[in-house]
Amino acid sequence: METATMAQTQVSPRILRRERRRMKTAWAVMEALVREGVEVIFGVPGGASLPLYDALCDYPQIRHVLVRHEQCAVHMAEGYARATGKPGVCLTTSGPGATNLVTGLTDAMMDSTPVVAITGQVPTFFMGGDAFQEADVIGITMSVTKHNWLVRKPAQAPEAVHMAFRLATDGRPGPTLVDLPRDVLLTEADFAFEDPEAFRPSTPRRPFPDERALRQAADLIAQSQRPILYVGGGAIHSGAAPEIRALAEKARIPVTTTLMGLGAFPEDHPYALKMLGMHGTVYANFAINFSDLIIAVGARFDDRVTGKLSAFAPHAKVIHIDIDPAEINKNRRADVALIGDAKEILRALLPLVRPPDTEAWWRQIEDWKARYPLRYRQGDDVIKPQFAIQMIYELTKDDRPIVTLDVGQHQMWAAQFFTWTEPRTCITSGGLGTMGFSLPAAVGAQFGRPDRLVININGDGSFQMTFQALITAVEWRLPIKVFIINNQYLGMVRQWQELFYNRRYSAVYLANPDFARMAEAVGAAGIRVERPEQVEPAIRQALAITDRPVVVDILVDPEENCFPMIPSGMTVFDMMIAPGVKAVP
Amino acid sequence: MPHWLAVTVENSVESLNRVFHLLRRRHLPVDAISMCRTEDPQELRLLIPVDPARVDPQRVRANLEKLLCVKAVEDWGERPLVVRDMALVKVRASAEAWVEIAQLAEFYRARIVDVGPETLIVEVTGSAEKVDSCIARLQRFGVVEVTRSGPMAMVRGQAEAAPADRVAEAAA
Ligand SMILES: Cc1cc2nc3c(=O)[nH]c(=O)nc-3n(C[C@H](O)[C@H](O)[C@H](O)COP(=O)(O)OP(=O)(O)OC[C@H]3O[C@@H](n4cnc5c(N)ncnc54)[C@H](O)[C@@H]3O)c2cc1C
Ligand SMILES: Cc1ncc(C[n+]2csc(CCOP(=O)(O)OP(=O)(O)O)c2C)c(N)n1
Ligand SMILES: [Mg+2]
Repeated sequence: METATMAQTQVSPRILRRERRRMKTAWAVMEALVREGVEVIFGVPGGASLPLYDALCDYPQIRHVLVRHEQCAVHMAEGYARATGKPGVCLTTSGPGATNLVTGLTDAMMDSTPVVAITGQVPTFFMGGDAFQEADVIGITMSVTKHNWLVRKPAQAPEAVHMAFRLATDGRPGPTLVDLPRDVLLTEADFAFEDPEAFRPSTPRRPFPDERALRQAADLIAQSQRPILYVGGGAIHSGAAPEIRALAEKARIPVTTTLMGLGAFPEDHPYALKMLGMHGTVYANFAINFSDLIIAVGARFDDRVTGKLSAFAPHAKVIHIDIDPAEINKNRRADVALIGDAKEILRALLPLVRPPDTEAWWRQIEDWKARYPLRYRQGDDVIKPQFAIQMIYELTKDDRPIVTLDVGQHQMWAAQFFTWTEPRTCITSGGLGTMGFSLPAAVGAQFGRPDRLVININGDGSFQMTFQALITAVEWRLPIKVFIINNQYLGMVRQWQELFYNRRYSAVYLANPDFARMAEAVGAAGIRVERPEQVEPAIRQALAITDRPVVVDILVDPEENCFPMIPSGMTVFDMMIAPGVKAVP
Repeated sequence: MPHWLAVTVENSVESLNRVFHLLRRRHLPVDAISMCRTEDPQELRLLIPVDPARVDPQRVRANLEKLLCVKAVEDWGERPLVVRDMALVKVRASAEAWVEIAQLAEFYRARIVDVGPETLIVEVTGSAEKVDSCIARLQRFGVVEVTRSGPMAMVRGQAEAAPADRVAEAAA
């Protein structure tokens, strides 16, 4: 409840009076950003964007955070957006500056994260002629933005910026980009500033689901015997956590979330089955696959969730709630499609819902839960990665941290061994699986939520992809806690080589530097942990450092595997709980 | 029977780029797209026959509707249509062959629109089958080249024009 109201006050439109003023386009862009309520921009300057950086000097209310690589800028913008619900903004120069954004924009597109990228471009009279640092940014980013704009005339600039913000957050969120040629930025013109909300891209007419469809959904729920709520990232964008909880409790339905949906339903609730999918819990995977009704809320039937699609939940009918009509029937046919914002739809649906009889179903689920809890065994010598992660959770949970996770085994263990209870507290790269996402995302999240503890759980491989973000964090004295789950391997890939490629390890060993000393070298605190009994004191020590970032390098069992696991393209009957051991329903 | 989508887009290279880019990126199995002008010079109409056995036409539609340059997607489904294709066929023709080609053209209600020293250009309009058949018959004389519009189509007997499908949501 608390978070829902918070999100509302944060995104409330700023109604500003109309005005007309003469200025250079670069300044008009800044005016538009101010009207959008932008407080922080992540970027690196260059020739084509110099006019924007010049204008920035006159707008001290916008903080500019200098990054050491533009990929960091866009991941920071993503972290900011995911933590706050407001679009994150990044700013780069033309050519290499802009192309360095591509990975992050793709990431934002896949995970439906609202990001606005502003890129400098070579002057219009050079465009198309292979000018110095020219890149076809519109063409290159067409697939990885919801829309992008090349501004050819000064008057179009504020409009493009406002449209970019509206589109980034309207409907299914995602990245947008505005490309600004230098000569346009330097041209003086009369600008009319309108209320930013006046610029709204036209959208196809879509009526709210009619009474009939809602009734059909309510009937399916009432008639079901083995229903399950399958909750995804869309529930977080929508702020639908309270409605999901209300529906689960009213109809006594178990809830599983995707990786992107972690936090949309409190995992300390008795109805929580935690994450499903490739590395989800055994009970969540059994429950969805033996269900007779799936209520999908803002989830997109990703292959990491379904495994072999044709064998996924074969007896289930599907109620699919999604804001994007293109998601309906994309992977799984929906029996009832409810297109629209999850929160609004659930609010309309709730009064119609009649609880089904789920007694027997719950007995079955409790049996699976009792037989297949998540587990690991911590001995006296080597640190088990799950143990380290669980300790991080236990020692920080009272602070309700915002946690960013990178990509690999550590990501899956954190998804499993944290108890996620609050939306917007688990920030990770799901759809693209971008190694290097989490450290800059933590920086962005801390800028968005300076009041909250921000934790980054990273892998030794992933950390090295965007280590530079630590330098920015030091510069701004951000008290981010970075925990490296250091197994000296590209562990997730090593696990696949162990299990599916006859243990032929190929290019997965990491000859790592000393991360604690690396951290110290850039002005962060560094702590190295090698033994189980050092884990707790090290975490406490890290939590006590509040004037700069701290990196805790935790050396863990190099060859620990992440289970449960449904191998890619397989079914729930192939779910391994240990090498060669399958779970039996 | 194809399921027709009539897509009204802004008349610009950029908007065509966006539409084709999207269809390719999503690997939506559509081909045989034809591009028509309309009464409005600011817009183009793309006619996309979708084979429902290969892809759900609603998915194609939903994806296209995400593009800002797409003004409307009309779902013609299997409504009765007038469909016309048009071809210009350049045929090698010595003076002796003229009469025969003219008779053939007459049969297809085609017209000879250019007479060169060694070639004729035949303009033929009609259903795709009719145009195919006319070109096939002309092969015997030696077809030098063919250009075709691809099918153009319109719903029969519908009084109102394409509805404006998009709305700019009023600011609250
Ligand atoms: C190493 C690795 C392992 C992974 N293993 C797993 C795993 O075991 N289990 C797992 O679940 N994932 C796993 N993932 C993540 C997986 O790849 C997908 O990213 C994830 O499953 C997608 O989550 P989602 O279905 O919630 O969709 P998202 O990508 O979060 O999409 C959100 C959906 O909600 C819709 N939406 C947006 N806003 C709204 C709104 N306001 N109202 C209604 N709908 C809305 C969107 O249109 C979209 O369809 C893994 C990723 C990696 C990198
Ligand atoms: C940019 C990028 N390159 C490659 C991969 C493929 N990949 C997936 S997980 C992984 C290993 C990650 O290693 P590490 O960060 O050490 O995490 P661990 O699995 O060891 O916990 C790799 C290389 C990727 N996801 N992203
Ligand atoms: Mg590793």
